[in-house]
Amino acid sequence: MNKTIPLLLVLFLASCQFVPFERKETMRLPEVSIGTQGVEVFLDPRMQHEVYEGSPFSMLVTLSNLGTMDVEEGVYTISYEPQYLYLPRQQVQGRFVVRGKSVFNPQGSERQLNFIFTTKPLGPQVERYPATITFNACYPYATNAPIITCIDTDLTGKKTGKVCTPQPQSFAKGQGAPVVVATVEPRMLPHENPNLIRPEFILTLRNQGTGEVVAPQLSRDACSGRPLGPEGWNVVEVGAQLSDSVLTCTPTPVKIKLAGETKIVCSLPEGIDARLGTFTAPLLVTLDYGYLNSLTTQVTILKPS
Amino acid sequence: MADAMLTGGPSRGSVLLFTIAVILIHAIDFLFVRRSGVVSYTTVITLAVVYTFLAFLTQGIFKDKSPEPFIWFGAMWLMPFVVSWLIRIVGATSGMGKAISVLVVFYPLFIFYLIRKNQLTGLVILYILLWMFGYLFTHVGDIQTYAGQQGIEMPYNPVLSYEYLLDWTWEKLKQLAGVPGKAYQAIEQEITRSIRAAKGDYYTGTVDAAAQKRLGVYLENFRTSEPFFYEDIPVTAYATMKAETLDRELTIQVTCEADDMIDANKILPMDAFSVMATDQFDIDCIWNKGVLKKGLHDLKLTAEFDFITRAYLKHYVMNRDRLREYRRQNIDPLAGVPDKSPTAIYTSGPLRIGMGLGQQPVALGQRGEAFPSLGITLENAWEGKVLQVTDVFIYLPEGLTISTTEGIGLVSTTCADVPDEEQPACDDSLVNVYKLTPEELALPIYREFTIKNMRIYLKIADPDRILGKAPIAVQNIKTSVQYRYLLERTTSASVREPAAEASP
Repeated sequence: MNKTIPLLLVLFLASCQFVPFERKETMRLPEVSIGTQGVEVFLDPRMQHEVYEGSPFSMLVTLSNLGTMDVEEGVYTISYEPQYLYLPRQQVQGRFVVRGKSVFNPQGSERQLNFIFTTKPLGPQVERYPATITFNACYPYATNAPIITCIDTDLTGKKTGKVCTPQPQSFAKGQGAPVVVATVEPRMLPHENPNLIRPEFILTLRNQGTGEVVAPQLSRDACSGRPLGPEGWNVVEVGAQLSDSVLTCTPTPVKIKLAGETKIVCSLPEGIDARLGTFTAPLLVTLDYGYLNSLTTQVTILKPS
Repeated sequence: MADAMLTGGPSRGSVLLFTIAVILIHAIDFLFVRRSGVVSYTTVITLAVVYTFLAFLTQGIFKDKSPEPFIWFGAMWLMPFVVSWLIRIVGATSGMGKAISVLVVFYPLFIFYLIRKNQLTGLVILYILLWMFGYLFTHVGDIQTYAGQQGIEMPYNPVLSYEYLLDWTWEKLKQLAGVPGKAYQAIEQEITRSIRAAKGDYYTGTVDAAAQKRLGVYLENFRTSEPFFYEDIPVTAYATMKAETLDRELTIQVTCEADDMIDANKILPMDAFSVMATDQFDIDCIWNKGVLKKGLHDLKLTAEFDFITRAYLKHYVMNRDRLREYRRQNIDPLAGVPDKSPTAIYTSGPLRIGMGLGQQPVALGQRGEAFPSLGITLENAWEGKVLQVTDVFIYLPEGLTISTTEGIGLVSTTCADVPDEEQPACDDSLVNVYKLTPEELALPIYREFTIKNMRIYLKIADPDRILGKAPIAVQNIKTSVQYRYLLERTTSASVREPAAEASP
C-alpha cells in the first residue's frame, strides 16, 4: 500500500502535460505616425573621399522619406567648386518624388541620385585640394497630428462621473514629420451664448528636424540662391479640426521660434452645446510647410606622385 | 743659500714684485710670443735675453751667487721649444703628442726655485693652479678646434683655454647685446603685422600642410675644408645645396665671395644649376693659393634663383538678402560646412602669401555692385632677400572682375598668358585672369621687401555665374607670384703665412 501511493502519484504527474499560458496572437499595425524626420539626405558611406586629378568619382545621395507625408514636388540642387570639379550641367538640379511611411510601407521610400563628378587638374605645386560639395533637398511637407481630446461642457465642475477630464497632452515622439505638435492644452471657455461653451486648444509647435522650415509656397525657392523674403523662413500654416468642425487658429501662418516655444491658439468660435456633457473627440491638427535639408562633404583631389 | 735666508733674506715686498714680474713675463711669453708654437729666430733670441735678465734679477733679489737661477730660467726658455718641436714631430693629436704635452705643466719652472727658497706665496700657487687647469682644458675638443681656427700648431698652450673662454664670453655678450636688436626687429615686425591686421591690412595664409615636399633652395653647412689655411695653398669652403621644385625647371646661380670683394676662382662642380624635380649638390668654393692673404676672411656663398609661390583662398558666397535672412532668423549659413573660416593656403617656398576677403560667407549683391576687396600680403618668410617680384597673376572666379585699377597697375589677360605649367589648370570660361603690369613691378616696393600689401577692388559682373543655382556657392581666388630670390650663407677662414717660412 505504502509503495502503491507514490507510484500512482508518479503516473499521475507523468500523464499531465505542461501547458504554458497560451499567448494571444494579436496583429498590430505598425506605428508609422511617430518620429521627427521628413526626407533625410544620406551620403553613400562607400563614397571615395580621395580622388586623383582628372579622375571621375561618384557621389551617391539617398533621399529617404522617414516621415508620413508623400513628397511629390521635391527639388534638389548641388553646389561644387567648378574650378576643381566638373559635373554635367543637367545634374546640377533636379526633382524628386518619394513616398512617405504608411501602414503598407512602414519603412518609407527612397530615391537614389548618383552624381558623376570628374576632378580637374590641380595646377602646379598643389599636391592636394579639399573640394567642397553641398547638396540641398527642398520639399513641401505636412504634419498631420490626430489627437483624442476631452471636451467638458460643465464649466462649473459640479457634475460627477465624467468620462474624461480636459488636460494637457504632450507628444514627445512626434507625428512622423520634422515639425511637431509638441503639446496640446485644451481649455473650455464660456461663450457669449450661455447655452454654448467655446473649446480652445493651445498648441505648441517645434521644428525637431535637422533642416530649415520655409513657407510652404517657397519650398522650391529654398533650394535656389534667391532670397525668400522676411516671411519666407520658419513659416508654418496651421489648420485644425475638432470632429467635423473647423477650428480657427491664430496666428496662421505662424513663425516657428528657433529658441523658446511657439504657441498658437485654435478655437471654435461658434461654440458647442453645453448640454452635450463630457465626451472625447478627435482633434486633427495639420501643419503645412516647406523643408530644406542640406548635406556638405569634401573630396580631396590628389596629384599622383 | 739657507745661510742667506737666515742672515737676512729678501724682503716680502721685493719677493712679491719679483713674483709678479716673472708671472707677467711668463704669461706674456705664452700669450703672444710662443702662443702659436712657431716662433722666429728673433723671438728666440729676445726670449733668451729676457730669461737671462730674470736669472740675474733672481740672483740679485735672493742674493744668490750660484748659477741655479740661470739653470731654472734657462730651462724655462728652452723647454717649450723642445716640447713644441717634439709634438710637431709626433703630431699634436697623436697619443705620443698628447703624452709629451704633459710636460707643458712644468713650463713655469721658477716655482721650483721659489719652493727651494721657501717663498711659495699664494699668488704663485694660484698661478700654477691656473696654468694646470688651463693645460687640462686644452684637451677639450672645442679648444682644440679653436686652436685650429686660430692657426695654432701647438694646441697645448694653457693660455689658449683662457683666450677661448674670453672669446666665448665675448661672443655670448655680443649675442646678448644683439638679442635686444633682434627682439626689437621681431617685435617691430609683429607690431607692424598687428597694426596692419587691425586695420584690415594684413592677410594671413597657411602653408600647404598637405604638401609633402620642401620646395625651394636650401644651403646647409657652409664651412671651410680645413681649420686653417696657409697662403701657399688654396682656400676651400663648401656647402650642401638642396633644391626641390614641382612642374617647373629651377635655375640657380651660385656665387662665392671673400670679404665681399674677392670672388672665388673656382666654384665646383659649377656655378649654375638647373633642377627639374629634386636634387642635392655639394658646392665647393675655391680661392687659389695666394689670393687670400694672412688673416681671418669672411666667406660668403649665395644662391640666386627664380621661384613661384602660389596661393588659393576658398570662400563661400551667398545672396546678400538671403544671408541677411539667415542671420535674422539665427540660422547658421555654413551649418555642416567643414571649414567655416578658410584662410589662404600657399605653397612652400621663400614667400608667404596671405589673402583675405572678409567675413564668410561673402554677401553677393547685384550686378555691378562692389564685392568685398581682396587683400593680398606678400611676406618674405626666409632669411634671404626677395630681389625682385617679376610676375603676379590673380585668378578670379567667373562673374567677378576688378572694378578699378586705381593705385595698382593691373591688366586683364587670359590663360594663354600665364606660365606654361599653370595653363592646364586655367580655363578662361571659369576664371578671369589679371596680372600686374611691368611698370607696376618696376616700382621699388616690389624689391627687397619684408611685407608688401595689395588691395584689389572687386566688382560683381554676373551674380548668377558666381552663385550658380544653389543657396551657397564655393568659389576660389588664386594668386601666383614669381620672383627672384637670394639666399646667403657665411663662414670664416683663417689664413696663415706659408708654413716653411714661419718655422724657426
